Amino acid sequence: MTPLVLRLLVLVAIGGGAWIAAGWWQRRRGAIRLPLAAGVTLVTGPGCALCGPVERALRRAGVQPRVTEVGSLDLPGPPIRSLPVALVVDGSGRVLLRRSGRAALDDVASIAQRAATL
Amino acid sequence: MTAASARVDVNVPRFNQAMVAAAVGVAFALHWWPLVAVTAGVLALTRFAGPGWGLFTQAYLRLVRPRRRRPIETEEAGPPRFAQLLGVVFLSAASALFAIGWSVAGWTLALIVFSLALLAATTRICVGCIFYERVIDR
Repeated sequence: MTPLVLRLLVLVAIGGGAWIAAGWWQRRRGAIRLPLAAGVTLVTGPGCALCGPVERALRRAGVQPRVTEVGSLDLPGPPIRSLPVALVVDGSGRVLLRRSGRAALDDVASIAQRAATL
Repeated sequence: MTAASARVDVNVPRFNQAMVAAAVGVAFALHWWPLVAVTAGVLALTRFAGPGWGLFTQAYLRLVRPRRRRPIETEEAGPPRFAQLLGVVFLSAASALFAIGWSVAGWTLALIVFSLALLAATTRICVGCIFYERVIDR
C-alpha cells in the first residue's frame, strides 16, 4: 500500500470517526432537554426564514428573547409545525402565550405587552 | 445567547469550513505542510483584516452565492468568528511545529482542524460555535 493511499485511509477514518462521535454526542444531547425559562423564548431551527425578522422585531419592541434551537427544548403543548415559535413563559415555566410562524411576526406587539406583565 | 449584533449568511462559514477541510486534507494526503501554513494565513487574513480579504469568503460570495436561488439564511456572526479564530490558532501552531521539525504534533493539530471543519461543513455541527455559546457568551 502506497503512503498516499495510507494517508487517504487515515483521512477517511478521521472524518468518519468525527461523524460517529458527533452522532453519538447529538443523541446524548437530545435526551437532555432544557426546561422553559421565564421570559420570552424564540424557538428557531434550520431553514427558518422568519427567525431573523422575528428576533429583530422583538428586540425593536424592547423584548430580549432567549433564542433556542427546537431540538434542545422541552416544549409542552402541541407539536411545532412551523418555525419560529415565540413563547411567553412565566416564572413557574407555564406558557402564557404562543405564536408560531408568520403569527409570531404579526403579533410582536402583543408578545411584548404580555412579556411586560411578567 | 446575547443580543444579536452582526449577522452572517450561514453558508459563508460552511463554505470556509469546507475549503479548510479540503486544503488540510490535500496537504495531509500529499504530505505537504506549507499548504497548512497557507490555509492558516488565509484564515488569519479573513479573521483579522475582514471578509473582504478572505479568499474563501470572496470565492463563495462571487462564485457560489449568485447561483443560489434560495433566500439567504443568516446567523449570529460571533460563534463562527470564534470558531475561525480557533482554526487560525490551531493551524498556525501546526505550521510552527512543522517548521521546527515536529511533524507528528503538527499533523495532529492540523487533523483536529480537518475533522472539525469537515463536521461543521457537512452537518452544521460547529464545535467551536457551541463552545463559544456555552462557555464564552453565557
